Amino acid sequence: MLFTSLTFVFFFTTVFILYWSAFNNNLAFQNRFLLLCSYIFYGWWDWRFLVLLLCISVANYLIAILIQKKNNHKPRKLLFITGLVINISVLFFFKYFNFFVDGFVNLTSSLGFTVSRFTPEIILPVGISFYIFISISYLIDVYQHKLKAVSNIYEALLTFSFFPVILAGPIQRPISLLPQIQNRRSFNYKNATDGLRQALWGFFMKMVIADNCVPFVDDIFANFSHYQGSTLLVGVILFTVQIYADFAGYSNIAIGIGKLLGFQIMQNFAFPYFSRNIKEFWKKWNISLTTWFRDYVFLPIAYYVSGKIKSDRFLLIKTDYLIYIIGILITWVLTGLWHGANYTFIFWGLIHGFFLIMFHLTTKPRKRLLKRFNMSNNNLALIFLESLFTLMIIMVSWIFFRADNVNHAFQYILEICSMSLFSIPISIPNNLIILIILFFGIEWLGRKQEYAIASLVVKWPKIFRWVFYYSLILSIFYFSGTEQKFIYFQF
Amino acid sequence: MKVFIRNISHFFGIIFIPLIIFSLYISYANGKLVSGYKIQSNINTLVIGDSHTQKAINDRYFPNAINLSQSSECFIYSYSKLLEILKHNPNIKTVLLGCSFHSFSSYYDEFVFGKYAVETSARYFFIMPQKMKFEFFLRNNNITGQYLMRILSNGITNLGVRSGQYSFLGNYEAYHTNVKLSAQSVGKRVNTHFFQHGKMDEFSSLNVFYLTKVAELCKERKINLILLNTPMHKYYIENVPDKFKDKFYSLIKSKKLNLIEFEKLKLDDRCFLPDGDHVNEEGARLTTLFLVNVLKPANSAKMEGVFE
Repeated sequence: MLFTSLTFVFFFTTVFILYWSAFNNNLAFQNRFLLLCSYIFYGWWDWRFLVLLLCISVANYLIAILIQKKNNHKPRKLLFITGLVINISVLFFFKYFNFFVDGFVNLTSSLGFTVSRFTPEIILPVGISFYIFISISYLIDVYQHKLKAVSNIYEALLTFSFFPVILAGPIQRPISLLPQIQNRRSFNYKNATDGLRQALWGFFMKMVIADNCVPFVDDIFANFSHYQGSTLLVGVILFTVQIYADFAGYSNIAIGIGKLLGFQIMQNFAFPYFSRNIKEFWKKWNISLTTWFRDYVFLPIAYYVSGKIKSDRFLLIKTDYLIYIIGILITWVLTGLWHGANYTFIFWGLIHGFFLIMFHLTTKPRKRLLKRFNMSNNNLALIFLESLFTLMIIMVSWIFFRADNVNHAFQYILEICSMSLFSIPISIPNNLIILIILFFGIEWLGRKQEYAIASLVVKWPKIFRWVFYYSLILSIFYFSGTEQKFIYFQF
Repeated sequence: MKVFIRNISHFFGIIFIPLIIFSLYISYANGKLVSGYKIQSNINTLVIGDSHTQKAINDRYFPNAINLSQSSECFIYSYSKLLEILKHNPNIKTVLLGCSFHSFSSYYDEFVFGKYAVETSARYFFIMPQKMKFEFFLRNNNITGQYLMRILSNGITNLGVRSGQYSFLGNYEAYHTNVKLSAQSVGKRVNTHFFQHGKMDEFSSLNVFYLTKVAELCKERKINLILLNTPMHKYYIENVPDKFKDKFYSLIKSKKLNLIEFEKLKLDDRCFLPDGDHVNEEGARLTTLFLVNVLKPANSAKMEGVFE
């Protein structure tokens, strides 16, 4: 069931009315009802995936309770590791098994050995990376005494399968979701209208902006060898727009739906393309995933490495820098892999890792340089140039993210860097260009808010406000493209 | 909660109630328009099909014929169109239906229940049988909003049309470009028609089914049905996977359908559009004259490449 389908509109309308009317007076019933709805929503894709989700959820629920009950460090650790192994094994099997088997076979054949290839056809359960990450963070938080293991099985299962976020995030950690599940929720008019407004903006982003870019992006990337550099540049610009509008649009819908049900789901995007540097970009892009990796991968690695290196310098590199470099590289290879079993994603991760390291290493020299040239950090030209440079890095990385393989990505970049960049590109419909400019204009105006139209129109007189909303709805109906799935479903 | 529901009902009611009433009116008016559509009485040959026939058959050079082809017209649409036109136009005695190798690629299903369905099927909505209309809504339910708007937009345009160029009809369309045909541009086209994500497409069972329905309809109404495999560049033909060529010929043979091919018409590169499967204005002139000649009673008996 897609958020953008008519089926979902009927589904959610029914859920919303029953949730706030029939089940409003009893929290336990409300949670059980939400759990049932979450399973219907998820099982709509394929009921077999639902069985897997149920098994993983029950396993995590039980392991967390056992961890909580044990007082000794050793059995606690053993249980915790068992839980981690179960979660990672499931993720590995469904997502990476064929990738690693292929890699192993290629490696052995390059060494002169012949190994028969056994790659069973494994269907990737939708949203697996998201609910496995929610489960892992639950186990870690329980293990580290940051969160009490929940004893009510319905509450636990709902934490792992809450339908607004299960398919493509935000990765709402149990530490913030569980208290909301456990406490009584009451209908709040302001929150509900805010949720509806956010969901509407999300629908506009996804159905009007992202989906209209899809035919051009798909065609250009599929036939990149037939196109000239200028068209390829147009292709990557459109993909840059598409992936943001698609994923941030999905997050806005998910958060909006959460608000309609009385939940506060974390902000996942904070206008990342208006970032001045790569570090700022990653503070604003897929926030739930980056903070997850920061807290559960980067910081533990940094802590571990710093414990191992006692000297100020190691291999002539300052220890602080070395810790950062090691932490960043591992984190970004894993972030890349999280997105999919393909070398393109690893490359994508490494590009970001590399530029994050470069940014970290050049922070102090940059300050000195600005001081020497007596230039303010808020110089408009400097802000513009730095933002442009950041956007260029991001766009190059998106080529790897979107290309079928690394070789294609390099060929794509080489063609952009050739003289054919100055040829006339394929024509893009004027209405798409206008819509994109309008969209980023509104995003710019609302960049200080949680989402672009959070307070942009709220103070307008009712008639103008409604006209604005009607325009959004009609443009969704009229201009929306035909692509259906969200990009992040594949992850 | 009650206030919220009330306000939401007002908000959506203001926009949707008039929209529903208006849609019903548009649907009714278009229904009338379809049933009243008449082709000139001297016309006895109807050309239908997709962009291949749309660009290849110029009815200006074809006496007593009308070209109502339209780009991306799958056989399900040709069938619905034919059903309505034949009902109200008994003067039609021959139907020339565009049919080529790509007609049997599953790529074409995307125009019925896939990513291109909104644009294409909305054009034909008013001539579809009622049962099919419901099926379209059900199977395209992920795009219902856009679908409704496109239908409405086409319906409104149809009511304003005076020349008979309704959304569900088509016409000969000349296309000219200075871009030259190349192996690359043709390769891209072949790739679009027969491959998706590097994998070869399957056969379109939908198009096979509706081709049969068209044949049955013509037989039932004693109408001469002839398939036209319009000229294509040699690069294109060479690159079409054998699987589709074999399917094309075996199907036509098994259904005992008449087919006209244009192998004898040697068009040079200048007569083709860059994609290699469409002809330009000059190509259309030559193709049409060739076809008119082939269809002359004296020649039609010894037509080559015609299965009977």
